[in-house]
Amino acid sequence: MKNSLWKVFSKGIIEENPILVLALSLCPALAVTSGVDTGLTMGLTVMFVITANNVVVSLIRHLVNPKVRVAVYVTSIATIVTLAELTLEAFAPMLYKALGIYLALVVVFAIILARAEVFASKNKLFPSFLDGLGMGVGFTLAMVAISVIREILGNGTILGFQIFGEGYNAPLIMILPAGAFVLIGYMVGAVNLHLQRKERKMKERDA
Amino acid sequence: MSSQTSVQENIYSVSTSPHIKADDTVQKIMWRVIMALIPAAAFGVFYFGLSAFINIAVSIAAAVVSEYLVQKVRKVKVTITDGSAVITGLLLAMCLPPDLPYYMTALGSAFAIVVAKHSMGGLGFNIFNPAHIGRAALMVSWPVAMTTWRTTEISVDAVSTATPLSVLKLEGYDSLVELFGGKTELYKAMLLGTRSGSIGETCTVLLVLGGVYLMYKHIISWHIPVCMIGTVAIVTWIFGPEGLFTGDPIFHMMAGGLIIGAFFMATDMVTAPITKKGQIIFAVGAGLLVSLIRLKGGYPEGVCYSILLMNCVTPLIDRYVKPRIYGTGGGK
Amino acid sequence: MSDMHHEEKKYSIFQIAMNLTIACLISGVIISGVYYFTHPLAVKNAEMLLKQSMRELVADADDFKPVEGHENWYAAEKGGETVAYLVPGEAKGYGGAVKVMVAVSNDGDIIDFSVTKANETPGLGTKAFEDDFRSQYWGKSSDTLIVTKDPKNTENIQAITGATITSRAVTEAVKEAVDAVLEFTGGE
Repeated sequence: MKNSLWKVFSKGIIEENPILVLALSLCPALAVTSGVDTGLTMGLTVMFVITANNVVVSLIRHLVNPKVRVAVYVTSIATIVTLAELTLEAFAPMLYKALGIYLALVVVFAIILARAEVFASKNKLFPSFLDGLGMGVGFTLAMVAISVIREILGNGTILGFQIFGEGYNAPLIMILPAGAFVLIGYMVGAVNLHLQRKERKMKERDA
Repeated sequence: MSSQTSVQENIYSVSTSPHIKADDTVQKIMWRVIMALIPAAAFGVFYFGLSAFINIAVSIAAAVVSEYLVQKVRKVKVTITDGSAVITGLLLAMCLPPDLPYYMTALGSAFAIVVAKHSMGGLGFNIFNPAHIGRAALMVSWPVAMTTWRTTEISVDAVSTATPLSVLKLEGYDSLVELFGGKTELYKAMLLGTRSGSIGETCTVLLVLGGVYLMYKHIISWHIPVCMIGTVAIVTWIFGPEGLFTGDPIFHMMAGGLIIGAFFMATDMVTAPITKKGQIIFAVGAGLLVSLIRLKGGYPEGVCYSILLMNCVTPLIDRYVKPRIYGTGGGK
Repeated sequence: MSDMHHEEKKYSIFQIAMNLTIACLISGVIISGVYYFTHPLAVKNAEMLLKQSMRELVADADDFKPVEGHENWYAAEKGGETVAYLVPGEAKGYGGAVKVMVAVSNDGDIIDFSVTKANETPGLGTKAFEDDFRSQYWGKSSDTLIVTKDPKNTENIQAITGATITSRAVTEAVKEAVDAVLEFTGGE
């Protein structure tokens, strides 16, 4: 039992990583990963929203009329995000300003709705919580990985600290969406390669 | 992906013409194109000096080396002798400023080969012209270095660090003519290449010669170059700086990367449409985009982006302009 | 399982609509509840941030008062007297509008400015928002606000290499603000 609960949590980290395997929510992966600070903040925000939403959806899953379930889930997501916005605006205005319009856009991130529909609406509370958390962790890890590469190569800094010194003539393509797209493409390829090799090894072992 | 496996399973074979292929035919074509480019490249080296030569060498070397490495890593046949990497390296270098730092050239060339060519499936499968992708990537990565031109002596008392098109964009047509000392001087400089610009773009006469040679050898047909250059001429003439029909088509036809782009890059058989009608549509579209960017856009020159944008549209053009099925249709 | 059970049930439009309506109602109640508590704090924070950004421009002012008749204008006061005006300006840049907030002294000289909104090329056009470029404007007046590429010209504003359009946009926006102040004070 414990083993399968762990699986529910951990699959979101690599095997079903939202950005690198499921290819969901690529928008934030392109738009806010030019610096590690924004990438990390967005990752944590999304983690909070997915987990909270999964919990809510799991709690109300028997009360929701299946004909309008998507609309209800979206309402739930929008409510959670709005609450996050209001709270940040009141208690952490600098963070709120830094996130800008991207905070409101969290509502439409595909991964949140996908987890609600695919998992939370059909599972109990604790597993749904773990699924959301796992997906959130996977998302954040991917966001941070992308941001680190983009910030180091495209700006010569990490979290604002100069790494390469003044003479570094950074290729600006890395802090622009075009470079992010190419980078994410190769990262998806690398993860796919790794998963394929793992599968092949398991098949050889079973044979 | 699936078309590749279908070809392997011999269910259904899809390829662009020519349909009878042998390795050395591809090679022959590639090397003929390189020969057609050499006069203009040589002029660039002659006019701009050592750094131009090193840039060309670095670009070609980086292209060949990256192709070798990628093919080794992917465990596929190494095809560096077919000349396609050399062409990409050469074409890219000819579109770069002569004093571009060498590491940038090398990285741009590697990007063109690794990302635009092999990551898209290799020779014959790429969607975009690799040399232009390399140039676009460099432009976006190091915009300052990519727009730093060689200072050339335009006339006895005028020196310029800007290309004619950038002078046109930032200061207007009259300043451009004044800088060169008159229209005839302007045209002469544009024709012979005695002005600032990229390594291989400037000498109109030699580029056209190379293009005509390729047409004579039936490697390219006249449709794309004529339609693309013609469209630019017509549109820039109509939408002139002082109202309708006051443009300078002669200047625009020779300026920037239009000649080299129209003859050597828009005609790339992999990224251009198959049918003649499709090619005309492609060329006119590219010409319109070039004119739009030159007249109204933020950049002084737009050949690189125009061709890339039309590359996107090529599959669509091919879909709607179907080649005549062999054996059917009207006689000739 | 319970899902299959639902499949057989036929829902009326009323049931479906009610379900969604209740969900929205609950959402509305929760949000308005939280808003009621957090909004006053949010407003205070916004004011504080604005004052902070204005203080960065005019460091020695006591207070900032809104100017009547002009939206988004503020007068910086010191010892009860207006020493400067903080005024918005706008111009078309490379990637859209460039908006600035300029601190102009009573004599029409620029104290400093900050860019409040822009969408220029990161790493290139964005250099126009940094100290190196901005310091050129300190102390200048409206008629010297012209962009030049001549490195020996220190009287006007030096463009950033490769970002002429952005440099021009920022200069135009700042000039708009300064001219507006001159008109307002009926000054020189």
